[in-house]
Amino acid sequence: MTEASVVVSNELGLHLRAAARFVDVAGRFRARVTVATTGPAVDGKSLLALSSLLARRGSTLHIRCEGPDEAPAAEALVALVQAGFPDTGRA
Amino acid sequence: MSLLVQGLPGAPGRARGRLLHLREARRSGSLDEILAEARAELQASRMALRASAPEERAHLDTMAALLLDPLLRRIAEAALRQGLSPDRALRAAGEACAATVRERPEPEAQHRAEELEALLNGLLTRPPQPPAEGSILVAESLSVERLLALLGPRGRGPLRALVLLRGGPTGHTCLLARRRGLPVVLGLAAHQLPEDQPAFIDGETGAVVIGRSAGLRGSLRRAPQVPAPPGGLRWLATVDRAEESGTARRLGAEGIGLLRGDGLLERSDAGLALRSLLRPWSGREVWLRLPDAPAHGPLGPRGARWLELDPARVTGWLRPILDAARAAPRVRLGLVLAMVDGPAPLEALRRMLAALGAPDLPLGAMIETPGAALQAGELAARAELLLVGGNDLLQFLVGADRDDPRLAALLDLDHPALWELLGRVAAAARRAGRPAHAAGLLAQDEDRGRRLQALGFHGLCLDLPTLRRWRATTNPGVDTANGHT
Repeated sequence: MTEASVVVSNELGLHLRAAARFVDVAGRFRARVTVATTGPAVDGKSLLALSSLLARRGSTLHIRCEGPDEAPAAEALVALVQAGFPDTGRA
Repeated sequence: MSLLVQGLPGAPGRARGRLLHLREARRSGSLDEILAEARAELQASRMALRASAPEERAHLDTMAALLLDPLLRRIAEAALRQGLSPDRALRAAGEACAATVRERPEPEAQHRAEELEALLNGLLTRPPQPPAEGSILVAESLSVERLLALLGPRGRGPLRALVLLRGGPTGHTCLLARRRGLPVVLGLAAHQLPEDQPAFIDGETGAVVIGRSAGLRGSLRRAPQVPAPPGGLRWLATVDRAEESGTARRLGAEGIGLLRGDGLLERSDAGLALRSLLRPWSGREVWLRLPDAPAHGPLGPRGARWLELDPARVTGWLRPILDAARAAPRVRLGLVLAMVDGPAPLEALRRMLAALGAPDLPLGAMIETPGAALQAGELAARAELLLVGGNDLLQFLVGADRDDPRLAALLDLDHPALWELLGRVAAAARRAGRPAHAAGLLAQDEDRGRRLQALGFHGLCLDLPTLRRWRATTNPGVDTANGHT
């Protein structure tokens, strides 16, 4: 299991399009991905589940990956959040 | 034989065409078939997108992620087992997810839940067939996205006009139609507009003539429906996009009363774009409004709120503005701050400008809330201009979202309370020796323009269709179609 924590730094937080990018990246890996902020963890490959976190700018995302490619999955997801979810057309 | 039905004006212009009712059918088939059909359409839309449309691309990707969502599928399958049809099961799953979000205590929960529901609704509804060339489209209501899809990147596409059964003239769908020169009539019932009948539509008066009688259409055309535009008031332009700047100048605008900086200031070439935009306005005034896009709904962070929420972002907007101002010293550039709630944001912006070496840049305060209107005197003491944003002021005054078609009837631009506030703003500006301007739909109407003038307003921010119309009325020799004077 690989765990990582990353702070949401983009202006609009984990908005819908950002969550869709997260799901897209998570879906490229076989590892099971869960994400939590202050409450229970949710499925990191579900747009609906991620969007219910309502994570704002400054929130910390606790990402947990379990599976054969868990390390590169966690690394890619952290990089995506740190880059502020590029290519979503919004800040 | 022809028949006149009277609706309400939505967006100006006149057109002939054939009435076509917009029908949005629900998808049908098994769960997998519904999802596969929606996926195929998304894929086709994505292929058709231009490379320069990152917003639209991200929107389609979000919809695609929703279609593949495991949670949505799980809840839908459970609903199927309870006997719901696949279409209803998917809708029920979406509603259940939205309800979970709605229960969250965060203020943006409601907005996020609505966003999810709207996305899912769009996915489960078949897009309308492309209308035939020359159609007058009749729709219950129409989102900005769907109208954009029908119109294409510019112009009016195959549409001649639009009849919205629900919706108001200050809603963003009508405002988009205005900008594209598409006449809109509001407030009729579907049964008044028989399918496939030829019709003539007048967006100025809200009249729709159904049938072929040239006589009735002719009398409509001859009638002096448009009163003379108000003289004695300054005609300034409202400019949304860089390419509108030159057209506004050619149409004889005295300056730009409202340049919306939303798209402009977050571009990587903002400084360059701003310089080229300012070029035609040497010796004239240009009021540039700092970004105000309501990304979190009308009551989310907008305009002045960013000064406190993210001062670094505001500084990022100010730098290219100040560079452009230095490169064009003969343009009288001022900054307008939206959603001003009192004197503090104006003072904060003044301090930021001083820190950047521009303490004397003129500031304009937008009056968009009843609170701002009631403090107009204090704002006028700290700003060089009071600019009323009529659409927002009205929606906050009556407490009705201007983009919710169910509430359109409440948004009456002749509401006595609105005019009471406008009178206060004009009086405060007069006492402080500052000009008061008006923007929004309020300013695009000849009679209301005269009322504003009588109250003591100095200028109106006119969109390009209004500038063209008023120029044509006062100077018929002007080639308004091309904007050449």
